[in-house]
Amino acid sequence: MIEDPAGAVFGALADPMRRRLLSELAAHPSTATELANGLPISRQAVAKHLTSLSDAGLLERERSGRDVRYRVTPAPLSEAVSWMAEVGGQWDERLAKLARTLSG
Amino acid sequence: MTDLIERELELPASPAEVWQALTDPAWLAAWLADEVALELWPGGDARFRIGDRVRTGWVEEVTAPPGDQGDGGVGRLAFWWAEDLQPASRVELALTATERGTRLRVVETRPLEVLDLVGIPLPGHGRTSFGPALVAA
Repeated sequence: MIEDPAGAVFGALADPMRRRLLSELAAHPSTATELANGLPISRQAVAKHLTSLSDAGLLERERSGRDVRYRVTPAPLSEAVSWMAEVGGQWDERLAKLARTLSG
Repeated sequence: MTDLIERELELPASPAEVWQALTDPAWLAAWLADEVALELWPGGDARFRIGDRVRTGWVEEVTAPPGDQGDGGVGRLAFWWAEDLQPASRVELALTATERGTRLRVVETRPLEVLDLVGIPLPGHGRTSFGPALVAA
């Protein structure tokens, strides 16, 4: 079977804490320490979740002094949007041809 | 959740004629792809040539529309297709009789996108519409 990148995304999002972290990061790019300050879990636990999210392609890392700042990567969404635009356009063309064929 | 494209249109032809356009290789070559080979049973092979590109897949459902004069029944053809190592997507073509012809509904889905589980706006996408709430249970 084809390797499914969405499997990794889905796995990463299965955990409520990771969804919460993603939501925080979408609002403000942050470091693991900053995130842990606002949450009832340790910095280590936060770091582990951030690694899962990064591995799934959902976060980008950015050096910030001695720390690493995480931000949400728009790439997976962009890919979905471009898929929908491309496939939608293809169907518009095909259905126009079908309508012409049937009325011709 | 899923990436999804949906189109619906009404065609000036009977369900039987539209069904022929959806299932007969000669008709399919006029609108769906340059060359189409469909084995019209569940699990049958499907092959589509579009220019010099080929998509292959399989047929999931083949339900011919019930008699011509709309008794509300639905005809449905569903298949999966994919090009090379791209993720496969599912195409469903459903037709129902209307007073003036046939309504055709096309849905292509790619069971891939799960970001809308989170329902958060992502940076760099001003027109994103995936907010605000977690919809999927």
